[in-house]
Amino acid sequence: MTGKRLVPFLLDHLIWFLLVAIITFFALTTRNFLTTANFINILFNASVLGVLVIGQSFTLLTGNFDLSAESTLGLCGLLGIFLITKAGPPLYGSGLMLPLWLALLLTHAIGLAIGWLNGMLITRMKVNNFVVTLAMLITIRGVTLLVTNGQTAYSVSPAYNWIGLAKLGPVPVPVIVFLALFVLGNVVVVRTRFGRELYAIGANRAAAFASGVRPERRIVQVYVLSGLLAAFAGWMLSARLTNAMSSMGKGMIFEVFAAAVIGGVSLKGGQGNLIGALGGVLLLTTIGAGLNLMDVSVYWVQAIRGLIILIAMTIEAQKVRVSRPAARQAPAPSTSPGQPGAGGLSQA
Amino acid sequence: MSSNRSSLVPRLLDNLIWVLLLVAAVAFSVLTDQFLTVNNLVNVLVHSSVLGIMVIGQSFTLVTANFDLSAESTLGLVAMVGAYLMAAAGEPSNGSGLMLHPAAAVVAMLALGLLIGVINGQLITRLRMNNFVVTLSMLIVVRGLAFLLTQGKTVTRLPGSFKVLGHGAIGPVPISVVILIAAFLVAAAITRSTRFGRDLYAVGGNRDAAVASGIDADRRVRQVYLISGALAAFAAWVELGRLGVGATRIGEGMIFEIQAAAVIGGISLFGGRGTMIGALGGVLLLSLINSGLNLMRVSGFAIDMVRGIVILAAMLIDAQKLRYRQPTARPGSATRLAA
Repeated sequence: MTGKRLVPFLLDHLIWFLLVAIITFFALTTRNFLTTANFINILFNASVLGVLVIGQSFTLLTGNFDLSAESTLGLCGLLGIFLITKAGPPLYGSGLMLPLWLALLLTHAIGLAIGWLNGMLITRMKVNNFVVTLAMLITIRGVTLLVTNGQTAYSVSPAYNWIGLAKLGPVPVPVIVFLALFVLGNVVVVRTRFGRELYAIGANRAAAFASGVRPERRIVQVYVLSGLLAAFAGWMLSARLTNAMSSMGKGMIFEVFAAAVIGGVSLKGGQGNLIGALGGVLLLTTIGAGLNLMDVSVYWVQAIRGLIILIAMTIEAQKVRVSRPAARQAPAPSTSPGQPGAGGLSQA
Repeated sequence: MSSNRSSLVPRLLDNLIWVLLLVAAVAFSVLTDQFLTVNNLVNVLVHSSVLGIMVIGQSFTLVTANFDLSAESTLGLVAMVGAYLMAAAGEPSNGSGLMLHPAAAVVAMLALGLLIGVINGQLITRLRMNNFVVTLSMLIVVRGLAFLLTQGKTVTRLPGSFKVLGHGAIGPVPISVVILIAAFLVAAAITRSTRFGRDLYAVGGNRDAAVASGIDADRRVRQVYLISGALAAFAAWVELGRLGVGATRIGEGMIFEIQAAAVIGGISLFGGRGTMIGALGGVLLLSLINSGLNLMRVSGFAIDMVRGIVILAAMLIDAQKLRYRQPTARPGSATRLAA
């Protein structure tokens, strides 16, 4: 009996066991791993990825992708610096010298507008969410290149850089902010009616609609959230780097998906939560930090991280197979588990 | 509802990609006088070749309702491995010193592409993993291996005979163009006229129904990943010949363009719909826009944005086409077989 209860328990909290296993491994093999400074460093490195994963998890819960988030991060991060900085070399700003509050208001409004546009195209024009956000990914990256014609813009404003570099006592501000956002996001997802409706839409859109949920409105809202959070993440990243290249964030979307999915957020919608997603973010970041401390060559790091992601996903997939026959909420007969019409991916 | 309209609109919508292509070609011909020249049109085709081969592989998987995100990394790793096997050791070549004969290198490259396809297919069908997740992980792993191979160094000084696919020409026609067209014709014939091809549409259109009618869906899925891996390796051969050097970043970010071309060309991400010839149209449209904007001396920085907007516009029109045809059905809820 105990064995029967232990296995599901392990599987349900898989991400945390993986995290403990990885931390134990690095603690045993690397001298400087088990230090407060290193853990703070891991959280610091996790912060930007984490904020993007929050936004992505909201859209994924409804069974929708937001591929464009990495480009929104890039555009808003670059614009933030561009708007408040002197023109020409060496800083390559716009010369507009906007006050900080106005620049940040604008970049977040742009993030919001991109999200809204995604949502409207998906719900009103009925374009597939993958396709819309894929096209936006390309378009927005193009706009970003145009802003400075590919030049890197540098920030010399301590107020702008505060969100990326400041510390409260020993704890960096971005760590506090991103952990707070995860807690807040999880409360929204788990405890509010809005959150429950997202699960309902992702699990079965037609049923959600029938029970009075307005899926289209909620989908626009999650894209607005995702755009807003991506703009914020753009501020965090460009502030930490104190500069913004037009390629900032490029390719990051793959990591965002990997973190969310390892953390148990399903690509088909309706499953997972933000605390699990946080686990996914921490796992990826811990692996990166641990391999770094082990003096593993940077060229190995990417391959090893990819391999660990693959292994984690494989275990995760087995979890669904193990737990499905015993404890699935839907007592549906053995039909395909894919959700047609929900906007998710069809099952392989 | 649509019967009282003229039959022209549905026919135009069915061949939307060719209408768009024509509109773009006419627009560029009017806007720049260098566009409508044999030289430039051949150039458009040359630039389409690698993307085109990649799109064929992706279309095979997409027709069965499967992604292959890893294709761009396969292209990159295979190109690196091929270059590494053929080049001399140490600076400046940065190869292995094995100095493999180009023919042997090509065999090794194709084998590697097939191997990656096998791994994708096995993980998806045997371990029941989601195709997006598997190929996303493989995208990261395989790119990591490409970096690892030479620690990020670029491999140079490849044997001349290897570069013939990327550089050579038969009379006035570049070999890469011949390959592009031949590959699409073969792919179109396979998907249209063979049992294998019809099976793919059935699997993508309604998997349960396909299985019920005796199709081994898992086997077909494994086969399309094999095809995708092999074609990515083949594309690596062409690309490596064109570039002349093996760089670790070859193909990085290309997957977005591959998906965009396939989808603009009418290949559905949900499987079971679209044709190879349509996908070729998608590839040509993207290359044409690139070339036209270049000739118009639009800043290289603006081209990405314009391309994104064109893709978005094409998708919008395409989505309206579905609504126009089936005013009541919701997208995704229809489980039609091959259209």
